[in-house]
Amino acid sequence: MRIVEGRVREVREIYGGRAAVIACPARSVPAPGQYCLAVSEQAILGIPLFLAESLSDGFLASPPIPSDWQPGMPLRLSGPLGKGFHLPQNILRLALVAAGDSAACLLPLVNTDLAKQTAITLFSKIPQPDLPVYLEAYPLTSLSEFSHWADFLAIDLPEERMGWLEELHAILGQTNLHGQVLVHSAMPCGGLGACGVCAVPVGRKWKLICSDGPVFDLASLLERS
Amino acid sequence: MPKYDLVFAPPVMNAAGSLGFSPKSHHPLLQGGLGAFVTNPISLGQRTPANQRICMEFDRGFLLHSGHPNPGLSSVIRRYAASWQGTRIPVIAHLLGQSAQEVQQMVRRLERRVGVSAIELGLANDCTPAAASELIQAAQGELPVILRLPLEIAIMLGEALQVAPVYAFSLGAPRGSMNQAKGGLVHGRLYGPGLFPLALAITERLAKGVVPVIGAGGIYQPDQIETMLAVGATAVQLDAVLWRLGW
Repeated sequence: MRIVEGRVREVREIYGGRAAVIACPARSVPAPGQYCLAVSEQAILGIPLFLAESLSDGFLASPPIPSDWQPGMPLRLSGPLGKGFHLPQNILRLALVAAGDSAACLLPLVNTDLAKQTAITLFSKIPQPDLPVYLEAYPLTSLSEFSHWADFLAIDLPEERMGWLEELHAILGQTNLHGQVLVHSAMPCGGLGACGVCAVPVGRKWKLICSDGPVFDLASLLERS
Repeated sequence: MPKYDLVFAPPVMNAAGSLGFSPKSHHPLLQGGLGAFVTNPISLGQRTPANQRICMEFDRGFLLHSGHPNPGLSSVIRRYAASWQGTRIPVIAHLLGQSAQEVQQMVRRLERRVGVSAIELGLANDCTPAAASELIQAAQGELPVILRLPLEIAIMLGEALQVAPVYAFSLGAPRGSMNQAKGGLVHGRLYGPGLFPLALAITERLAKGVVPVIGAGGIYQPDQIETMLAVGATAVQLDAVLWRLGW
């Protein structure tokens, strides 16, 4: 377990919510889909911070962040934690699917080397502000029209909306299940205690989002539904 | 006291449910030294997570409900026994027994395991002294038995079980309820610094008895360990503070 001291450098209203610029060592910056557990001095529990954008001396953590976080606030950070996105190298058409309120956790995938050779389109439940101008964006309801366009789906999904995967399964059918899903949940123990709050059914088993995820194979999650 | 030679040095350990099933040597508090490691709750058969898992914060605490998921005793032994054997501190297996028969089965199997130094029996928050006595008797064997008393009935049970053959009492998280934003109540275990005053008072009261008490509940500052020990606790357990990456 690697624990470092960090700091909230700046708070921004961006990507549809309250985000924070976190100053921390480079080795603590999570990869897309991974998280960093952050504990402030007064907090009873830590919260997971996900990458929205890499910066030279830290990262922009995607919204939402706690309402009491202010610039200058010291943080204790552990991470990177969990399994992030690992996109295949040979995909030509990538669909980013924001099934929650923010696409911020998916945007780092646009800035990878992969993006130089891949067509990327965003589908989101609600309109997303602050998107790169070169990123095509459509409402989530139009995903069915593009169901056979994408080689691969990278999905951002709150745990409470796991039932939406059944709709997605109906859209995709059985032959187009290539993708990964970042599942968001409360993670009070941050992977330390196997407390079970973040348990999610994957295939025939239960997995913990904090340590077995947060990114899971799409086909495995669909097997549960 | 008893025939067992179970020493907690330092007199600090984690509470069941806080650090998984085997000690992780790289946890900051293990580097500072824990006197024992308590496993997550283990049932005889597999327990799946609760249908509605939740963690809700309130002022100075949080409510947590997970259903104590675990793969069952056989799987836990298969996966973690080697780790237990390689640990320098006592490993205490926390057991969730639905019946005296289950408790006895689990204890007999764990007695054959090198590396488990004691049993901690978890009790439901509506457990009666008679039911607790039955579980205690079922757990008797080669391993010392620690009885974890739910905080809200700890004094009642503790005073009723002063002559029970247990190595010590420990204290378990109380249960509470909160209103959900979408309506309805959720129920679960309560943790957080707001519990410390109550836990301290209960520890002090129980420590006046003949059964040693492992104090627990709401410890979020290192000086609170000393306070618990000063009122008579023989050791203390840390729970959710361990998830804060330090004090």
